[in-house]
Amino acid sequence: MASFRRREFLRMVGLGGTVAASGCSPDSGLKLIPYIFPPKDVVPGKATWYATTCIECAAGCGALARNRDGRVVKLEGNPLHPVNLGALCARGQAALQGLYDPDRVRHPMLRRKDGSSGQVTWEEAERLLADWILELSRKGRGERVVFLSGLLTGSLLDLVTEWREKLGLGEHLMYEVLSYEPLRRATSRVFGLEVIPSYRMDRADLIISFGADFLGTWISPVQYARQFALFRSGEGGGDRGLFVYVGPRLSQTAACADLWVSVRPGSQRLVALGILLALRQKGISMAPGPLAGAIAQLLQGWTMERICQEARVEPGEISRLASLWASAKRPLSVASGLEFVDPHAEETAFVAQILCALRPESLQLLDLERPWCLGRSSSLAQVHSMVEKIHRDEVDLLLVHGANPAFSLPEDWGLEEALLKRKVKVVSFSAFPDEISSAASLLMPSSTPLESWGDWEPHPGVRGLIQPVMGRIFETRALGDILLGLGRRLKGHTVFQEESLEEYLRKKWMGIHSAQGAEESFGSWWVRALARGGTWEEGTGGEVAKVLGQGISPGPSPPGVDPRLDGKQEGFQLMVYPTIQFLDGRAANRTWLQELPDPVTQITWGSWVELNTEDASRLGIQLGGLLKIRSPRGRTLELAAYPTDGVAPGTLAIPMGQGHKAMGRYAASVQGNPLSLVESGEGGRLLCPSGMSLEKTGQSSRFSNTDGSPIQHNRALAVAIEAAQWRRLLEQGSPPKLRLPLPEAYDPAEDFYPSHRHLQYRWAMAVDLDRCVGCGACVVACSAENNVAMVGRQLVLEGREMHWLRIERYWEEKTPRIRFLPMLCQHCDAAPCESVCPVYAPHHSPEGLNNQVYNRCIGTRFCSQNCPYKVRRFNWFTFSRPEPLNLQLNPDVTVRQKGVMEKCSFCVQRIVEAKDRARREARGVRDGEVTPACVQTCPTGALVFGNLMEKESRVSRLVKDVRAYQVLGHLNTKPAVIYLKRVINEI
Amino acid sequence: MKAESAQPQGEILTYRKVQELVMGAMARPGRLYWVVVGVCFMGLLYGASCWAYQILTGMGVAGIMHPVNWGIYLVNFVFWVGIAHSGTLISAILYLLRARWRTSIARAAEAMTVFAVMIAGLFPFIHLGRVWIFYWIIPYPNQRDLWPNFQSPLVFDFLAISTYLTVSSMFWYSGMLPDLAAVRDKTSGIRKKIYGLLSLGWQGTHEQWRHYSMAYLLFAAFATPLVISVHSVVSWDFALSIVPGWHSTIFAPYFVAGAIHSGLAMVLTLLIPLRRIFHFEVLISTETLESIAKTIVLTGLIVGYSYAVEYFMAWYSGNMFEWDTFIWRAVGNYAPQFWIMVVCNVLAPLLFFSKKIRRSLAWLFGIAIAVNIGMWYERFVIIVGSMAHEFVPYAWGLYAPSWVELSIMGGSFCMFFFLFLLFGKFLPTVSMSEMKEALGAPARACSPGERT
Amino acid sequence: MKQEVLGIFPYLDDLLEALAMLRQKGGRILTVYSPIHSEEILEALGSRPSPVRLATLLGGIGGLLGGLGLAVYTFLEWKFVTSAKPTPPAVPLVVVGFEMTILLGFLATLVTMWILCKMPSRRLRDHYEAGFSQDRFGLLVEPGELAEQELLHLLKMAGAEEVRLLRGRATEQS
Repeated sequence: MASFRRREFLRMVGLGGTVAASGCSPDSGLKLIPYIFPPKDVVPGKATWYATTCIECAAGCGALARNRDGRVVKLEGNPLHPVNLGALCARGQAALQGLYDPDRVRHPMLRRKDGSSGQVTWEEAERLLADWILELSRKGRGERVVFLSGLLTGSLLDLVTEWREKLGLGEHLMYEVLSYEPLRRATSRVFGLEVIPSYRMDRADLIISFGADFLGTWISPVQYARQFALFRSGEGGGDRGLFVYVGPRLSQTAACADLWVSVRPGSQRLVALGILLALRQKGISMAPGPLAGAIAQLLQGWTMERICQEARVEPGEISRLASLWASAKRPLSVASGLEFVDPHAEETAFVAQILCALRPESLQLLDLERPWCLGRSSSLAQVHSMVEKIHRDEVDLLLVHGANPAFSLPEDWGLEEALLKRKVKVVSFSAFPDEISSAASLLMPSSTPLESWGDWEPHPGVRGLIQPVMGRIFETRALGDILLGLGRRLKGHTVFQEESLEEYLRKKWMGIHSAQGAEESFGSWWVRALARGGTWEEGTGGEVAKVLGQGISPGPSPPGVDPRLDGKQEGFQLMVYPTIQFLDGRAANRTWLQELPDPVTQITWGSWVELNTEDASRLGIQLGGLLKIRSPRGRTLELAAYPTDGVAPGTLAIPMGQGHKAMGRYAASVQGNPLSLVESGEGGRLLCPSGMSLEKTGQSSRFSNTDGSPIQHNRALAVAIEAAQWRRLLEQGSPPKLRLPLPEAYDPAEDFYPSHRHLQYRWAMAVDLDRCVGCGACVVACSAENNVAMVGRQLVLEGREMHWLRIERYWEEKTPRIRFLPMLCQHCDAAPCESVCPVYAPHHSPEGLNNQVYNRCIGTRFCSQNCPYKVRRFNWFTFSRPEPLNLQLNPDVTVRQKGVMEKCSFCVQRIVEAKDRARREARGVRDGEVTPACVQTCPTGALVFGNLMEKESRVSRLVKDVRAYQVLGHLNTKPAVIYLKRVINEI
Repeated sequence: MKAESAQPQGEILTYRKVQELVMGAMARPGRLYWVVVGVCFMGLLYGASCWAYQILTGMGVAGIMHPVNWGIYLVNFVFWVGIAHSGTLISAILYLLRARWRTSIARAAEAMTVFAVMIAGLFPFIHLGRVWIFYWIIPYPNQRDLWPNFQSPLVFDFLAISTYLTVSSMFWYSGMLPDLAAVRDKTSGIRKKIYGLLSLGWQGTHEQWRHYSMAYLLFAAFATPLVISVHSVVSWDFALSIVPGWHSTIFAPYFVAGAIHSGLAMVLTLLIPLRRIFHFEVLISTETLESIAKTIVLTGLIVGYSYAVEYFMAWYSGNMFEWDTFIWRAVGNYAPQFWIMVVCNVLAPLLFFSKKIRRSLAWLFGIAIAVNIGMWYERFVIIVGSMAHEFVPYAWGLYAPSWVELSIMGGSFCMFFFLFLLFGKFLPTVSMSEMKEALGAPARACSPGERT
Repeated sequence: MKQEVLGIFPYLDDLLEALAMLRQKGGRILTVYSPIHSEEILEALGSRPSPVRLATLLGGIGGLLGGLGLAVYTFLEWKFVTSAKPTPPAVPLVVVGFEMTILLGFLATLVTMWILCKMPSRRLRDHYEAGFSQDRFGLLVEPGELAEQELLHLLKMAGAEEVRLLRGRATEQS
């Protein structure tokens, strides 16, 4: 791996120079090659890589953008970036489709009083806005100009602040839907710092998650997924860790747990309390000093009976968790800290952190020195008061960027009607036609991060650089440039000296440079920073969290805060969970994500409401039956029912992010927005009401899900092994007998035909099911790399999705537990698909690849019929992509025509590229040098690709693992994808 | 078979009578005939335009999907190939076996064969994703030196079907030569010219008879193994794959029996009306139909046995994938089709054990239709029923034909009846020369009739 | 100046009688017309089995070799490995060989048959009777050492319903 990173590094330094020299010329990407005078860093036919930062979510993973002929065609994780170390999640991969979003706001727009809207030039738009601001400040109402943005960090934040101060404007709010405010409050109550700590899951040996989906959406999923993999493999030191998930829903994260404790939303805190209680009853030392008092206060009036009765769990369950906790060396408990999934989020988080505070070893797993930047987003109370101000006409001008409150704020705050009725003017800098933009009177579309300069500071010590990875494709401007332009127009060059955001950024970074006190000149340092993707201290030190001294505030007790939250009340408890595809809904207009099956339900394109099968049968609700969901306050929403064992009884679980009214053709849907059911509690808290009622409409709809059967019918496809048995095997250390795709594996007793040789390489992949968390990043990466067509809801219904790689989800038949099985072309050595083709379209390459020659295919579809894994995809139509999505197409991969069969090629184009490089350097391809898109982006390293003929390659070592097996190996097709059984600790 | 069976009781059959009957059938057709022909032709055109639509839009207009990549196009392919079989069986195999009852029906059966093969041959192309380059499957020399893969069952298929089409059509045509000459000699004007050309100047000299009879015998000798091989090859399209429910060694005999089963049924379906319309009761005697019925009982029993054996093998092999597939066939989403298949193919023909039913035209016709339907569903159950539930449960899926598929299927039936109607009117539907031969040559000693 | 005599017979047994007599009396039988295939006539004429069989054999063998040859050649052309099978593989060749044997064997037979039967031919012989394809048998004879009248008489006696004397048609028979 080390050599691999070095190479990446060199590659980036190589191009960094050109980046610093030129940046990306604005018109690049629109011209077709051949260039007469190509931009310096664009060599026709040769990819250029730019290091930048992905800010699809606040985690700020480092990214590398692959630019071919002036167009960025692929995003990959930056292997050097400490947050993600080379991996990228599905949303990160899909950031490209944000850049190429066909529905983007392409130029400034002015909406007149009569509702009609028209295009205006930047000049006009700028003048208009300047006049508004000028007029207001003349009247001394500058304070009534509010800047509402999503989370900002680094230079851009400084710029905004500076800009506001220099112009004397009003407050700046950074509104994030998922701001983890309860978690922040809880942390401040325990540790005195209102921050979101960063966790060290890799060092733990027991993780109890109270509804925190840290493998999918929680704070920094890519990083935590990687840490989780280490935690599992015990590479973080010590033994394989145990993972217990306490929550109302068997989420993708819960699916990776050894034990899922199913409780109603809001009862997580009870379980946590129960553990605490059980520990005390067990007489475990309640870390004397400040804590003891708090705990005593906390547990006041709670008995195990009451807890179990209210949480509806077995006492045995809780004491089991307690003893697990007691026996663990470095236990860690994390809580979601989101009111959307846990009405008592703050209490749960509070108790969870008290649990951590019990043990110094646990405290070492909480890093308060490096709090997540998300913690700096404005509190809901602030946002609420702003809305109130609008109602009271105390806001004259609202500037919005990167926030979509019209979609996500509770309806009863009445933001939308306020924007319509009140005199406030809205100016939207949003790049997308989101809900707030449709209420805006002036649209000044900002460029996407991939087109702009900037930097991002996920947490102290890590500064990621953002640079344009291609020229602008529309008449947009980076927010920073817009602000500077306005500033100059209003106050002149003396006040706003910087010509551009780039210049401003450089200045800021000169400061950083001198602060670091490096003797290196800024120039070269800057180039290196750009090439590396930012600057950060190596190593992950950080102080041990210190428990607050006296007066840990136990918070409101007894914590039955809101009557509407009384667990005993009739009706259902609502939970709206952020999804791996859309997070809070910002990414809803991206086909890759819309067509990425939900990890648990495997549904694409559309929304649903999950409820427990028992509830469903009690109410006579069928799968797909359309339900009218009514909240106690009478808000209603119509969604199709998805009965499952994966949610606790009495729970309604609805994915977040669908149900847009605007946002573009793919996002806009007839379905309602589940966030409209969320109400506001007191103190600007959010509230997912209980006492929801269901009403059958009689209609029903089909889900466009991709799973043919939820279970595997005792066919050992996704195999799991009990931990104890695994250890036994490890001791015996005898590698299992596989039918490897190698000549030596051919056995006259089993094989009718003799073996055949491979030249130098036999490409193969190892898939570790114990590491796979089903996040689907690989699926999106594959689609991006290989120009896989997205077909839309109707065709998915007809069973015509085109994914080359899919994550099969199988429910276990007895226990409610999920197994993920990444399924792709197995490149069998004796591939059944090959010999049945009349025209040699599929045939075996000397390197063991199962080639598919698109131009030769005449479409008999026999190969697909004869593929036992059913991984071949047929082009039922000629699929096209709306402008400018087509600019994303990878020039190295053919776009397939109707009537042609296609499938995973192990990213043969990358293999060829690596072989060329190797040939130039007169050597063989090194292990790890070829990484197919899926392997490259896997956050947990579940996928390993390599050469089986090289005895020391990682894949060669992995196939000797005691857990190794082949799916459908008995068919003796000698698949080249070797799976490693998932390990399950029966707790 | 008894030699007399060609000689119906009561009525005396003479050369002239044969001539008159057969030529009579070729008399100027009435309006009704043209109406029916027109309707069939329209249906044919409609099917063709649907195919054009599919080619322009993409295979997606058909109901086929992942994992059921093969739909009723191939169901129809196998169905029509099956129909195509009994023709050659009757004319060639029974010819070699000297079964005299074949004489009167051989011609019609062969015609049916030829048309059925034509249509069957169309379906693989209709089913092709990029039909505009279908010829890549043909081993023709080209400068890129690209050849088809002779390992592929589909290439077997191509060879077998094209050979079968050539052989069966030329066999049919050669058999018709003396009759065409006879028609030529009885007609005048343009028709005489046309039939003159078609008859290639046949004059029935002893030399011609000498070579012709030898050749005809050899044709039969070729056609017999061919007819067996063709449907075996068709069955290998499935048997050579690894799909549970397909991957089975019994498939070749099983398919051949099934083919003959359906073919004979189709012969009955066509002959009974033909016999009624052209008043061929004398030529095509009830005994003949009865013998067909008896053969259907035999093939029906073979088919039934094959079904049973398939289940036994699936169970006995201990292969869970096989067993699941077969259980699912009987109880799963396609269970109705499965039971239609069993009832129509195995149970219905058993009724033929009763002589009364065997000799009643209504029953014969009804059961023949039933077997046709049953055999179509057999192919449906085999193809779709296996694809839908394969190895990987995640990839399971259900298939239902789209309107395009159904239209093209309808078009194929229209095409078949269109061709057969033309045949019935413009070509001798019963082999006169062979009928005469079967009658025994007129001799002064004991000649039937003609005596004054 | 040759002469030919055509006798038209309603009954086969009469014809056969006539044939027998003519052969012992030394009349030259040119052609026998018949609406049906009758082994008796061929026996009476003592004609040997048709040489078509030879063509069939050669065609069949040619087909077999051709089929196998083509398949093997194409396999060796690229040596594509499919489903880990050897190139050329043995099993599939059987099918190719078999089908080609039948196809070429059949076609060879057909073509040879046409050639031997002098088909296709545009014109029919002038003396050809429509009845020959219906229910009449024809017998075309040259007197040979028989006297013309004798021949006519013989045919009449044998039961020919009509006997025709054809003059100057020597070129008719090829």
